Amino acid sequence: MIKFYLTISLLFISTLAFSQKTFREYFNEGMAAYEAKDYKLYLEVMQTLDEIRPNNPAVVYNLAGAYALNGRKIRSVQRLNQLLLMDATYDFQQDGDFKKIRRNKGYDELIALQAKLNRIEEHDEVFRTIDAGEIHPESFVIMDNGDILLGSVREKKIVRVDPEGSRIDLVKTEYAVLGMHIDPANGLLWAATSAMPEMIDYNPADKGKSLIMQIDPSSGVVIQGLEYDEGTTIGDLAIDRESRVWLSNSLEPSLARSNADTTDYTGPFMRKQLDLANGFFNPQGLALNDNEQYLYLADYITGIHRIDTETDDVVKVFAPEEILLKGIDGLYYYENSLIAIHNGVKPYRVMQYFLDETGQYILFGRVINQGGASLGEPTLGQVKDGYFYYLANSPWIAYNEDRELDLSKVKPIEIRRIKLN
Amino acid sequence: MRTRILLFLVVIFQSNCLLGQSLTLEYVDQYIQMSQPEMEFGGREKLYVVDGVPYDSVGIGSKLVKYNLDDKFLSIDYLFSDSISTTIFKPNLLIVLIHKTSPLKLKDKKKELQKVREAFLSVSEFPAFLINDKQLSIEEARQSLSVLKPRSIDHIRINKHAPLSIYGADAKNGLITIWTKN
Repeated sequence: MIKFYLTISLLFISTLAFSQKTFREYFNEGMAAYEAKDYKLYLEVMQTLDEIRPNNPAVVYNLAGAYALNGRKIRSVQRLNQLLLMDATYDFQQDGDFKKIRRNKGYDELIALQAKLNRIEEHDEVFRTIDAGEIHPESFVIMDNGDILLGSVREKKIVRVDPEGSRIDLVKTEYAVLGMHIDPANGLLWAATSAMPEMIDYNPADKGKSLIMQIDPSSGVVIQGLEYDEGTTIGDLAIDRESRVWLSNSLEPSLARSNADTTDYTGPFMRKQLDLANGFFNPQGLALNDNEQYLYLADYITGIHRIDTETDDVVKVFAPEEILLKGIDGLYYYENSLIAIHNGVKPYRVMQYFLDETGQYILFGRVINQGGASLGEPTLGQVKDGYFYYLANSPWIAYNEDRELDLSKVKPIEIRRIKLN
Repeated sequence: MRTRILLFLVVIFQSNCLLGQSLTLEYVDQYIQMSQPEMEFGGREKLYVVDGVPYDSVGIGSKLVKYNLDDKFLSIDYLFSDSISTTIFKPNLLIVLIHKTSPLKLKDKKKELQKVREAFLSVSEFPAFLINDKQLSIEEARQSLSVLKPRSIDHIRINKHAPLSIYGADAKNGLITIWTKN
């Protein structure tokens, strides 16, 4: 069996909620059991690892193998199904551990699913191509006059690009620009900026710091800011009708809502805080539904959750078996559907998921783009005038080990779109 | 005439069950028709959704073969497009949902069980209720739900519609099916 030690070692770095040693010990124990052909113990250990860190491809792959080796064919097929939805590039067909399930009814379906997931589907179109890859945009906002604001991770600034392609620096920011949204109530821009190793002049002492900025998009004047001094990487935000800002923190899982009712640049704000340490790993995209009763939150590992904005009740959003809500970065709401940008799966995909009347169950999904040539790393987007726009190729892949941007690997930024109705 | 057609459908439906055959489009259509006999089913525009993937009536046939009619976790339900969005879909489109009931984590079982208990607090409009394939009366259901522990639940399924001819008049309010671990 092909074992994925590298993935597991990377996992140790990001598994903050659990002891690194404990996880490593578990994994080593599992591998030792496998080598000793103690498949019962191997299965038990992989089940434990799956509880600790759900939806990890390497763990799920080993778990599927463990089920097969223990004769639990249906479970093995189910886990391989789950694996393929996360990473359809695994060559499980060559793995002898799955010999026992090859005649199982579900095995042929797995092969068909793998082929389906690796099939390129592009139902969207190019909206704009902008030669701005070197600033490493992660997010953008399309203005009513056709200008596009790009938020730079690398150069810590927001630039404005007019329809002819002319570019000016709108505002310098403290940290890397991640999520950006316009407040529809007043037309002001909110930008989430967080200290990232990929930004120029990164100081490790700034790790965990974020500054949420309110900016006049016409002049670039900074109106106010919300400071977070530790434990944060705020990757996305949502603005409600009362101009309150919802923020998702991926470094120490939490969700905050701030009342932006002061003109002090770094003044005090009324904050509502939801601690998501239990059951959340990496909160990312946020999307309010039309009446703002619910806020949808994508956790990169565990999927989409729905928060009742009045009661703070958090429920999981359920999906059918062929839909896995993992690896979602940007998340958007449109007419009782959720648009999700999956950049934590292979191949990358952008999906629209249709919800039932309750808003808690996904009925079905449609592919907007799956594995298209443009999808460098799709990140964030915007719903505007019946279209969904998204940034298709944020150049995260162009960084070397020292977090320096290799310009030879950087391509022009592509914003793609699809009509939603 | 309508009664006779319905009786005919029930006979086909039940005989199919006994045969343990693969699921077919014909079976699905009969199932939906029996869930809402007054609906003009034939000429209605439909979208079939299998495990979260939409198909039209032409493409769906081969996708149903993987389901056995005797699979207790097979779920068939439907809704009308107007109930979820008035702009994305064609008006009054019948969306037929076919999937296997998924296992839940304990905390989700708790929430689903709570939802079911709330459904049975209703004075008059309660759904049909099955536990381990045995249909219970409203009083039996309430009693069973009062002692049921989330931990002892294996699977739980809530359908908005089910064939009235099989599950009785309460099925017009939906069908709740629970399997316990024992």
